[in-house]
Amino acid sequence: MSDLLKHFSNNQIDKLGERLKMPGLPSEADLEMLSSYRSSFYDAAKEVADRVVDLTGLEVTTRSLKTTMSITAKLRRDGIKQLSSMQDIGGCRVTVSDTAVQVLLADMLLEAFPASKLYDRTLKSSHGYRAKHIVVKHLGKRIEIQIRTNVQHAWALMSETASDRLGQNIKYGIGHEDVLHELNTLSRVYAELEETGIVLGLPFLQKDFDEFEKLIQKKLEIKNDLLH
Amino acid sequence: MIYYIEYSREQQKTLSFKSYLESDRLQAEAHALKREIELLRQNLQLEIVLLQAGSEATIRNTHPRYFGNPIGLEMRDVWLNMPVQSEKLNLRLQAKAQAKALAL
Repeated sequence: MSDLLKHFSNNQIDKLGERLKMPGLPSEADLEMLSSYRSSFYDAAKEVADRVVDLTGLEVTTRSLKTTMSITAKLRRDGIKQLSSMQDIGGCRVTVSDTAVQVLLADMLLEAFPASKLYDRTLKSSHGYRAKHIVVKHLGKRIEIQIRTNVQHAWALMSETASDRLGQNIKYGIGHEDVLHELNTLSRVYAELEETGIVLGLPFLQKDFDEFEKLIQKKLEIKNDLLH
Repeated sequence: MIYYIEYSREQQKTLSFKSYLESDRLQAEAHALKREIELLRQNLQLEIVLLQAGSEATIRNTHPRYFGNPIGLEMRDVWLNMPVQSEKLNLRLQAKAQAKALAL
């Protein structure tokens, strides 16, 4: 049997999680086991994504493989006790025009998947990140559906860009204070505007992108000056 | 389609991009695992990603950082012009509004 098709007990997966939490790089055997475990989410994630496409007519991206880097970082950062309880190994993402559609879609999915739970980060943001996440249980697996409005998606991209260039901790509220301040301010402004029902257009976002890009460039120049 | 991506956070650059048919999913996963092990041996850290979508255009919208600076000029039009509305959802929205009006 191919390693990719091996099945493991929850106990074995949780022990794998414990090993991944340890400092240093994972072993080859653990990478193989993790790959096999991730693979077991494929069918459930694919069926959930197909259902979302069928319900909405929108394009959906399924993440077939949550990266080893992300899983390891999440286990270490969030202190998740059991890898088998991690809710976003399999998942998909869809972007919608505005909050009215986002609410509608969340309601539709909660109805379509009775064993599901809404994590509403539009009510309480996570370090500025806003979206509605629904975790559904399908084929015995937990699959996370991320529903973002275009504006929430734009903010997430700014945060990811800053994290890639200035350090992954930015996403979790740690790092350059003025960058974090800007991200938090934009998150609050976008939330207030979305609450009014205003659909933000491209010109509005472009100005924010330009200013944020300048801020990141400035930080990178300072970082480079310090290094040389 | 399934899309295999090797992304360097350090360089903010995609170093490898391949597409697979869904029927070749196990092949894509085997390739991803092989590369993860190779990178481990070389002590290199890259993001190895597998995404599944109807088209490359969809992942350019949902995961634009793998195709360039998502907030840079070259990428904006790609994802900001992605369809985020559909006839199905519009009809559901209208029905919801009508039901709300009738209830008042």
